[in-house]
Amino acid sequence: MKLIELKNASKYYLDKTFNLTINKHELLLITGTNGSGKTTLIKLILAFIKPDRGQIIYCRNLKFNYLPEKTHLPDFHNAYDYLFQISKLKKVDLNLKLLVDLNIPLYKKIAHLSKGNYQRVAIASTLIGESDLIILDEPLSGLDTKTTNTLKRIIKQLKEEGKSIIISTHNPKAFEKLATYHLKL
Amino acid sequence: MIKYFFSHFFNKKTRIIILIVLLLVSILSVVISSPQTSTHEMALNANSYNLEYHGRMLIIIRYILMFTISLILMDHDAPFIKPLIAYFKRGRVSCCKLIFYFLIISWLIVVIYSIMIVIPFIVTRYYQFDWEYFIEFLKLLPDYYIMSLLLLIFLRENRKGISFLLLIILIIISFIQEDSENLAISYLIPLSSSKIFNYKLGYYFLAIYLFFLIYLYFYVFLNENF
Repeated sequence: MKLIELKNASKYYLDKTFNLTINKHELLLITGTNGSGKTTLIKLILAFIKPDRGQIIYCRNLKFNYLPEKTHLPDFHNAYDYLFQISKLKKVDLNLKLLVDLNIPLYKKIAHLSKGNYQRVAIASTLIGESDLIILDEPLSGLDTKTTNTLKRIIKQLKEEGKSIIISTHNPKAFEKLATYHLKL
Repeated sequence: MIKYFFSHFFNKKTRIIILIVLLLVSILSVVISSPQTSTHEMALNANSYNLEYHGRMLIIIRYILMFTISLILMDHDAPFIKPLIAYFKRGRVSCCKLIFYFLIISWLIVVIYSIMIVIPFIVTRYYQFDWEYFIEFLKLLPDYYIMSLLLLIFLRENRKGISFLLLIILIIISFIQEDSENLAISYLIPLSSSKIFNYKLGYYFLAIYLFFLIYLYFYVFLNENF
């Protein structure tokens, strides 16, 4: 089932046009060099920017769980309070298994977290909520090998549950086997 | 979602700004309300001391609040909003953001006005609460809402300097409006110092102006590129 269809979508500053269909239950892996248009493509999908040419067709009003490349979390909360607040905001139960899997230091203040732990909290906050499409922009940034493997396992599980996922990364090897399509820009 | 905005907004920087402003207002309130005069003298001329205190404080608070609001709203276009827009869509996020900032500004105004009343009540013998002074203070409120809406419309994360530019422009305009009988500039930005409020229609104009700014805010938010 089609979720989003990009028909000759392009921006004036990019010498590329995107023709792409994103279906349900698929994992789309986007890779490419710097400036190749990965973030532009994600912004087009999220409707953060409008295409200058072409069109983007959404099957309905879609909800996205989005992890931006640069994440910003509130400093003075501890990780658990923040994630609990997010789950309340999105009106879902907090998935404790996810928190355990990602090994998040729950009672540490976000301001005191290391870069890797900060990224883990950001990933957990993104995966909370019932969305139509999960979009992860550079999810491996700052993660060690162990957490990368854990994230791979979580994404595999999400895919098996029927979630649709888009991952943009500079390290395609981590997700290559899971990907339904690999888009090289 | 307003709670979520609150948790992001009340970071260390904002807390320090608000604390400094409250301390400053408290100190100024003590200094201005307690002249070096005997308590009997103050009790005898209570009305003139009240008038002098309110006159001075209103001028000071007016500019302190404008400055504080420009600092607070400087971070309104924070990047944490993007994942919210992706999940909840622009309409709901823009609405909650507007309500949140109106609540914060209203809260700040109430707290600062309370300090302005409570401190002279404690430290002086002459202080009396007067509704007339309160109404004078209420007349300043639209200035803050106009200013915050203009900041929400024009200020962006990569153009934070606009915050101070707008502050300076508004202060200059308020000075011009105080001295000038010409209403042309009041149609552009109807601040409380404007002579437009000598006419009854001025208040209707202000209401329509505020609605127009709110409409413009939604229009910009719903159509801009993130």
